[in-house]
Amino acid sequence: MASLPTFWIHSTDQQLWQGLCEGDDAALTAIFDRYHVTLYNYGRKLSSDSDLIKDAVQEVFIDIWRMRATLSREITSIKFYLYRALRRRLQRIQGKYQLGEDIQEIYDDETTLTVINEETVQIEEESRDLLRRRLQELLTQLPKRQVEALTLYYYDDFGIREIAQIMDVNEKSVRNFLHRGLKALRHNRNWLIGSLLILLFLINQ
Amino acid sequence: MKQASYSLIDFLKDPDFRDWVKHPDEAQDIYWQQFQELHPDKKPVLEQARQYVLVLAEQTAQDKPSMAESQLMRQTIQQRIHETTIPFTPSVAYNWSWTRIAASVVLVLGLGITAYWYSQNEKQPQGYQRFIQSAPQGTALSETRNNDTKPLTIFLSDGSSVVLQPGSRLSYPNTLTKREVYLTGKAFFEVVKDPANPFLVYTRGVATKVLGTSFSIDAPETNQPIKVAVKTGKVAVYSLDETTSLYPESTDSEQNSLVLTPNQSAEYVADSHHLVRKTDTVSTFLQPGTLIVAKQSFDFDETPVSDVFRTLEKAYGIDIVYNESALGKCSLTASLVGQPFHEKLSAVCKALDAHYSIQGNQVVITGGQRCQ
Repeated sequence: MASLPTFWIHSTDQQLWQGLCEGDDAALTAIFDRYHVTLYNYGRKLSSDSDLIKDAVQEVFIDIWRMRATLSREITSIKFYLYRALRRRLQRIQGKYQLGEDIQEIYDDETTLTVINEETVQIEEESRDLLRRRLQELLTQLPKRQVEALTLYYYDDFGIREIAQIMDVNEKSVRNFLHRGLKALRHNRNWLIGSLLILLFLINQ
Repeated sequence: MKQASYSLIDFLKDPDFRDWVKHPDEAQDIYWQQFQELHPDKKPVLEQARQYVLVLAEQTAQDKPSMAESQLMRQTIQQRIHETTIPFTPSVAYNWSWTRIAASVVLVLGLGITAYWYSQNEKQPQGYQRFIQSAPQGTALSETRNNDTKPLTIFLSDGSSVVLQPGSRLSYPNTLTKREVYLTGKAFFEVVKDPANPFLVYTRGVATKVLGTSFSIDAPETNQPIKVAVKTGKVAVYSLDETTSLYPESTDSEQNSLVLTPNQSAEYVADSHHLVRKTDTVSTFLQPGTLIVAKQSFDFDETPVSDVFRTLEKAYGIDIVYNESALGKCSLTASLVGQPFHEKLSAVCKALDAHYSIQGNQVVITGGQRCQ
């Protein structure tokens, strides 16, 4: 196990990228250490096959090493670059993974969805714990691309424009994915109670 | 202020709001404080939206790789970028490169073992033969040797950790389908509990079978006695010859197998092939020359977090980087004896509401709540 020269740990992205372009493999390792966890987490939103994702994540890093001579030395965000590279790679190798615009999801225009009326929506006190459980369940049920957009927006802190470029769709579609995901979250608050009732019903049979 | 008419979803979709919740700074604090003073009716929605952002961020982050997976990816990348002779070929099928890596590891190790046999120029110890025979075919093995003067911590793919004394070495499969390792020298093991899948340590003449525990083994290369001592849990020790069977519940005589419980130890005498139960007046773990990790009680009672991290750093020989101004004043009450390193870290991070990642030979702690 090679250890990392400590000076890379606090380097900026720009410095790391320079190091990489100059062929310093410790810089590549530092980039890996900094970004592979979130990158893998993102990848798992695209496929549940963890071996496939591990392999793709590795290949993304090996690729930037092999192409280091041809990379542009200026980079605004290494993270953005890696995410886009990972998604394109997965898109290439996983033919069955449908990445085209989903007609049904585009059909709903944003304006028709923004009808949640503040007065009719009660603000209940909801414990963080309950919210957590509800969301955990919901994320397994939402369409993949909504989960993908929610992850990029809320966990990875990307802007709408960056997400559009990563996902290869227009910005309006990204807003749409987010909106639909959030709306589902807002509306399934009775889910827990509902499923408990169903469970009771089944037990009583 | 545009937020005056915001609904819950409007707040959630506002990137400024998201950024403030996730990474608050002074300027934003002032802005949102003012907003709430001007629009007290929005306070409950805002607070709820804040919870949503936090939980959304948390729940979309549940697919992180395990520490072992991270290490394996890291090693593979390092290996691949140094394979200069292989020309660039775009990968077509995704599982190709995995197979290639596994194969190359086997090859390299195959050579290593052959060389070792030659230099030994004699029959391999019984334990090593058993270890090799027992490994499923095609298993890629690693050997880690501690050439340093400090103890070295190895993380196995099942989550167990092994602290190797200087001059000792451990052979183990890269992926533990069967949890079996071979030790030469002295090490302290902290094994993940998995009763269905026993953990076996082979040494020159002895095999030690455990179900999830911590213990130390001292197995010198030469014909000196081998010593196994248990800190937590329970282990069975077997003396090895061609006929010893490790799996059916042993019908062997007491001389061929022994069950040890905490603070008991056993010694194996090579000449007679016999195991002897030791009744130590002083615990093995208190004797001079014992690894720090084996001596430590890892019992924390209202202990400052900075002390907890220092204890872990010393025990495992790994640096822990954390925000001292934020977390330094937190204190921790926990008993972490016998747990592998990553379980200890997970427990500490859970208490602090923080996260950790392994970066090289450093652990980096992020997040966590500030303590006053």
